[in-house]
Parts: sequence; C-alpha cells; structure tokens
Amino acid sequence: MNVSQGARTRAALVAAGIDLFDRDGYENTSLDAVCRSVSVTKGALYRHFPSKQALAVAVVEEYFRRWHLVRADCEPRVSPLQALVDLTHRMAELTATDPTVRVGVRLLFTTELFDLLAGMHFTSLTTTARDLLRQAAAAGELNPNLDPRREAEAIVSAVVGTQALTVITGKPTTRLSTAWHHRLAHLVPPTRRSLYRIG
Amino acid sequence: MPPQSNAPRGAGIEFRHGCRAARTAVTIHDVSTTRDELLAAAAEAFDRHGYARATIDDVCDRAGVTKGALYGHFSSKKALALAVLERRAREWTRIRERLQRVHRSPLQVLVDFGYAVDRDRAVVQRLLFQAPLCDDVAQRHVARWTATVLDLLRHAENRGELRDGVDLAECADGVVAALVGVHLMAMAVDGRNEAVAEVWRTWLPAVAKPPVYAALRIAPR
Repeated sequence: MNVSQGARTRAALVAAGIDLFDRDGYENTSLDAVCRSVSVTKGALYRHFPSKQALAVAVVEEYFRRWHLVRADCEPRVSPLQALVDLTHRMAELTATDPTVRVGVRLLFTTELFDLLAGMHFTSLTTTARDLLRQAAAAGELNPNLDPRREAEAIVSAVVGTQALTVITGKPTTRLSTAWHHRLAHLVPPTRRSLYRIG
Repeated sequence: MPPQSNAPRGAGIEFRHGCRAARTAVTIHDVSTTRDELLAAAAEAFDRHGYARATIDDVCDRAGVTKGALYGHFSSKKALALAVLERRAREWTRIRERLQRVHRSPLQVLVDFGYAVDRDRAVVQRLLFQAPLCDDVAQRHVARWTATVLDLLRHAENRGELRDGVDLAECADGVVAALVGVHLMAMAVDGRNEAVAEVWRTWLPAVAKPPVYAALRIAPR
C-alpha cells in the first residue's frame, strides 16, 4: 500500500466512524460495521486504529480541526468583541448542524476521552476568548476594570454548556443570544451596546 | 386496613397473605439499609473512576457486600448508576424545599440551590453525561433542572422581584446551560471555584430589579 492510499483509507474510516457514531451512537457501533461500510478488512482498519477508542480520538481531532478553521475564519477585522460573539454563535450552530462537530463534541463530552482531551480543548477555547477580549479592551470597546481571563472563562462555560445541551437534547438553541444580551450589559458601556449583533 | 378484613378469598389464603406482609415488613428495613450502603459506595466509585472504569466488584468491596447481594438490588451497573442519579435528584428536591423555608426570595433560593448542586457535580456529571446513560436519561434530568429554575423565576416574578419583559423560559434555559458548562469546565480544568458565582453575576442583574439584586447574597455561604 502506498502512502496516499493509506491516507485515503484512513480518511474514509474516520468519515465512516462519524456517520455510524452519529446514526447509532458510539456504544452501539462496532468496528466490524465501520469496516463493512468502507469495504476494508479488519486488518486494514487495525493498521490505522488499534481500537475503537483510537478511531474516536481521530474523530475528535477532526472536530478540533474544524474549531481551528472556524477560529481562523473569525479573525477580528473591525471589532474583536463582535468577532468573539460571532465565533461563539458559529460554534453553537455547527454543534447542531455539522455531523463532524456534533459527533466530536458528543464523543469528547460523553466518553472516556473527556479525561484525556477536554482540558486541553477548554484551555484552547478560553485562550482564544481571552485574547479577543484583550484586543477588545485595547480597542476601547470594553468597560474598564474587567478581568479578561475571568470573563473568557464565563463565556466559554456558556458555549460549552450550550454545546453539551445541544448534543444531549438534539435541539438547536437560542441560549447564547440571551446570554450575550445580558453579558454585553456587563462588558460594554451603554452607549456602545446597540453596535453589536448578538442574535 | 389489614388485608384479611376485606379479602374476598378463603381463610387459608388470607392467613398466608397476613404472614407474608409481616415478613416483608422486617426485610424492607434490612433491604433499604443495604441498598443505601450500595448507593453510597457506588456514588464514591463512580466519582473516583468514572462510569466506564468503575466496576461492580469495586462497589461491593466498598459496601462490604457480596456480588450476589448487590445483584439482588440492582440488575446491572447501569441500574445502579440510574439509582444513584435518582437519589441525588430527590436530595436536590429536599434541599430546594429546605432553602424555600429559609429564604424569602426565590432568587436567593436559586443562588444557593446552584451552589448545592455544584457540590455534587463530580458524581452527577461523571454519570449523567457518560455514554450510555447520557442518551437515556440526561435529557430528562436536564428538563427537570430547567423546570426547577423556571419555577423559581416564576415565583420571583409573582413577588414582583423581576424586571419587566424578561423571557423566563429563555433565562431558565440559559442559566442551566451556563451551569452545565461550568461543571464540565471544572471537571476538566482545575482551580475554577468562582465560576458559579460568575453565572449569577451575569444573569441576575439582568433579570432582577436593582434593589432586589442588591439585597441578594451572591457568594456561597
């Protein structure tokens, strides 16, 4: 097998994992079913993934890649705070609509992968939020005397909770709009609040 | 009323019924003690190892009972986990009722209820959001939490404590999402003790009238 063929097989296995975990759930999906759906032998699968957990890790990494793309896409042009608001909405929306994100979040929050990977991911989310808040403060968008780290953690908690409830209830949610509405009252001077799109 | 007095069948059967009732009364006492011990041991095991890694053997060791005795009460690890969650949910109901007797303001009840739930978060979060329990019961528990928050907000509204035009259902959803997020973050990242207070600092000033908010104690007691 040459390298590109191997990479193609791996990508096909990850895609099949996402499909099957999404449809049947992680617990109910067997590696045999994954092999069948890609038409490869179990031996070929084991060359890439020694266990179901290893396949799950690959799916969660795919979700992380999606997060990094969304973050790169949300670069602050005019307002760093608006970029942060948009970023959180985008993450919540993708959790409801994008199978890779939905399955990745579900695996990350509801399997043993939580202990392995969630801390790192939450730190990455919090650092991004904190950096955008610092830029917003530097651009004069925020009330004085706010602690960007603390505010970032609160914002990320709301995003993480919204993601968790979205994958649990299967329903998209408007929770973040209301949360941002209240949060802006605390972050931004009254005269500037109407400048932001939060819904 | 004793079963003998109105039982339609023959005297022999009535007598047996009576016997069985008496015997059950004795065993129920033993049963509930062992059951409680098993539930306490299971909560500890799940908290320490998580649902996937916790074993029935470990629970038996902690409770000092045999595997056979455990299976007399719970058919599986999952049944045990569901019972732990159910017991915790009942405890929360009791805590809420107690807080409602202590505090006049439903919003103060909400604040303290949030802290009480937060203290249990390790075992609940580790169980509730773990597959395969998650798919079956998490939705129901989340709906129950949301109903509790909504109920307290409605009480507050009836007492004239809330600002005009607050969408109570959206607030309840948002508060529950924020608390769940706080719990998940706290399980993964250390040193976040202020997080629940932060949820109240975000939501309550937007929901409560200023003098009501000013009178609330936001910090844990």
